[in-house]
Amino acid sequence: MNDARNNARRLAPDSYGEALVETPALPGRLGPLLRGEWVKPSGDTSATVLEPGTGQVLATLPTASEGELAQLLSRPMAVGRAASASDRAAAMRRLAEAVEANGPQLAALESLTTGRPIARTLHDDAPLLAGALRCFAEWTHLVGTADAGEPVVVPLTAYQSLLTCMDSLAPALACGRSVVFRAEPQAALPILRLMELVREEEVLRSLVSFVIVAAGERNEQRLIRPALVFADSDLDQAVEGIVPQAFTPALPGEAPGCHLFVEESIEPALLDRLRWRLGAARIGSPLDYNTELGPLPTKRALAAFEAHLTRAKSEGIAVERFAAPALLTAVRPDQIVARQALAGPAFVVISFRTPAEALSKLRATGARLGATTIWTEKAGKGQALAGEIAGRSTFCNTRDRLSPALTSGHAAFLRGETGDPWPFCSARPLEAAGFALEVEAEETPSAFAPFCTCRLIWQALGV
Amino acid sequence: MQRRRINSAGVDARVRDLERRQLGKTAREAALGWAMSVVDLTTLEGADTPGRVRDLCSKALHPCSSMPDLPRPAAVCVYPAFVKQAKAHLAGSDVKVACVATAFPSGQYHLATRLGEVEAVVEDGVDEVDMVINRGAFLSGDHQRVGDEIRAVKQAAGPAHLKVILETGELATYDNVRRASDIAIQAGADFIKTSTGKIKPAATLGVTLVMLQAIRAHHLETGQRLGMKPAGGIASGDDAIKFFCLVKETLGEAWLDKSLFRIGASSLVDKLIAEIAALRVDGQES
Repeated sequence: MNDARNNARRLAPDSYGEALVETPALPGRLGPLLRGEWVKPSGDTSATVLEPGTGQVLATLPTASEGELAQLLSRPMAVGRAASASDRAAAMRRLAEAVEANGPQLAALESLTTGRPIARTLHDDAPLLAGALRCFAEWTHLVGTADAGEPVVVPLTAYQSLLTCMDSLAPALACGRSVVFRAEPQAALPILRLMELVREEEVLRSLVSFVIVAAGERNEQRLIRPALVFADSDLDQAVEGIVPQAFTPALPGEAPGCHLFVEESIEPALLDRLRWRLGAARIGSPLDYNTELGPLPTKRALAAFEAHLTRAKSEGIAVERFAAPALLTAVRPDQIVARQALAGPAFVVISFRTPAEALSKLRATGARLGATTIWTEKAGKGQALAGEIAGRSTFCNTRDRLSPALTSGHAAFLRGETGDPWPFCSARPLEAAGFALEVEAEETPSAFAPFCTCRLIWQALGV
Repeated sequence: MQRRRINSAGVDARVRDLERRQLGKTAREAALGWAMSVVDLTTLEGADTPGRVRDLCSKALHPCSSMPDLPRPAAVCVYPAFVKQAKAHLAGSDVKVACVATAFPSGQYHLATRLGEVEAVVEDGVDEVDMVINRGAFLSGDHQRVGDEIRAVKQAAGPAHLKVILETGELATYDNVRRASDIAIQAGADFIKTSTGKIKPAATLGVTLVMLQAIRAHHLETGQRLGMKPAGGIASGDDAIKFFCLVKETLGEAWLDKSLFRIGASSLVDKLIAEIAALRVDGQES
């Protein structure tokens, strides 16, 4: 009898093997960029960009001080007045095509430097950026020309730089506004490549500036990602939706991690499934197609994450580690780890007894909210809760769904002459895709005056 | 039994995510070899003859003469009339003999007839019985009857392993698939199986995921491990690898064993052999 056949019991591979994408070429120019032109750095300070997983030096970038940045912002910026709306629109559409054509390189640069898995950057981030450019290109004729005035200053951190561009670059270009990107070194490389693409468009070139500011000790308050799980939800699908949310932030301003509010009656069952799932997490190189959790972008981020876990233990919270991910159970909303974003792949678990108590505990954290997910098979309950939650986007029974037409809620809708929000995509295509949508308009930053910021509620309409 | 509502959008999103997996070359060849080892090599045609069954058994014993290291399928699956013959051909090997029973594929016969069929194949020495549930009873809401009939078949099957076919294509919704899975598990199934392979859709990744989650829930509650068999519509190496990833990520590596996972297929083995051969030629040339 052939020995290989005798061994038929254990033939499956232990892993998927490596499915690495090619290491991307670095951008040709490493900044800074002033009104579309590469300039010599004014100082002699620099910062290194490291590959997060290996510590290998990828590039050394010139940095500007806060004072130099303030001086830059005090100069009058270009306005897209010379370009007609149709020229601007055509340029944005060409830029969108260029982003698509260079999507693999942009995505790989983002993954290489931020640790975000290539499956997300390639299939989500880069296509969303191209889609946003196309969508906002359609609104230039209604925006008209912009007044000279304050530029849009976009801080870029190492958690998700391409998505931040989706949120800010596309509407700014549509308005003919100048954009100044101030990037942490670790966030710079994919955006520098993007700047090379923008510069190829004559009418858009002068609108963009890019400086790298050394990452200081800014204690930026990042947004938390709450998930509310009710006893009447499909627990298996809820876990599959929650885990990616904790591993990679979806919206600008968010950090990895999840504040998990779970109905007490199902807490043991949910945690069993969550432990099972975390034990099977696919951790690896962010350039590996199968990886779902890459390294944190910087040593500072890793230190902050470990500090959170140490603090949790000191508060008497149970901390379970699954290689990189962590599970913090029996947390109270007043404890420190509940009030802050975790900056790493961890779950803070807080139980509740009723929907009202879920809302009350969520508010009691006092944390600023990113996107919230609600898991319940009762559509009415999900909608009612979503209406009470003060975050920017709420997802009911679904994972992160970003539409280039709606971005993350910022500058999503055009404000008509009467001041009312004027949706530029009708609800019907969303309904056909299985989502309902509600809009509540808010005041928008003046740089995007023609647009309004909206609160979005995505409701999965499954059968 | 708690009525569970399945988040269908979530299931479909998870399936889309799983379909993105890419295996390295070595891992791919190993996964294809694994797929061969868990196949129930099947012939269930009205035109089956002793010669056809003989050829099937021969294929199971010697899948590929040019690659004798390839694993054998886990079992052959035939109609009840051919169990004795298959047992004789496969005597002394580790390839099991499974057969369909209980008025396959419709299941629309008197219970006594269906039980008699099971008793007959057990007497013929079958190793595994693949029964069909009473979909008429299920869809008319008589879930108690569905469970009672499974229990009766389990008793009639004696020492033979019982696989319970849900015919997910007729159940139509994920809610129904989960409900039927829970009923079968509670009634004593050793395996739950998606389909007869006689209608479409047969085994999809979505229904398989829902059934694997039912098995996992049962394991979390009781510690017991039950098996899963998707059948029908798995026609290529790519299909097999998607199911490999699905099982690995939902239940873990313990379930990647022929005692807990099978693929019901008729032409898949030849496709797997061709693909492994191509990979090996590629490997030699590079």
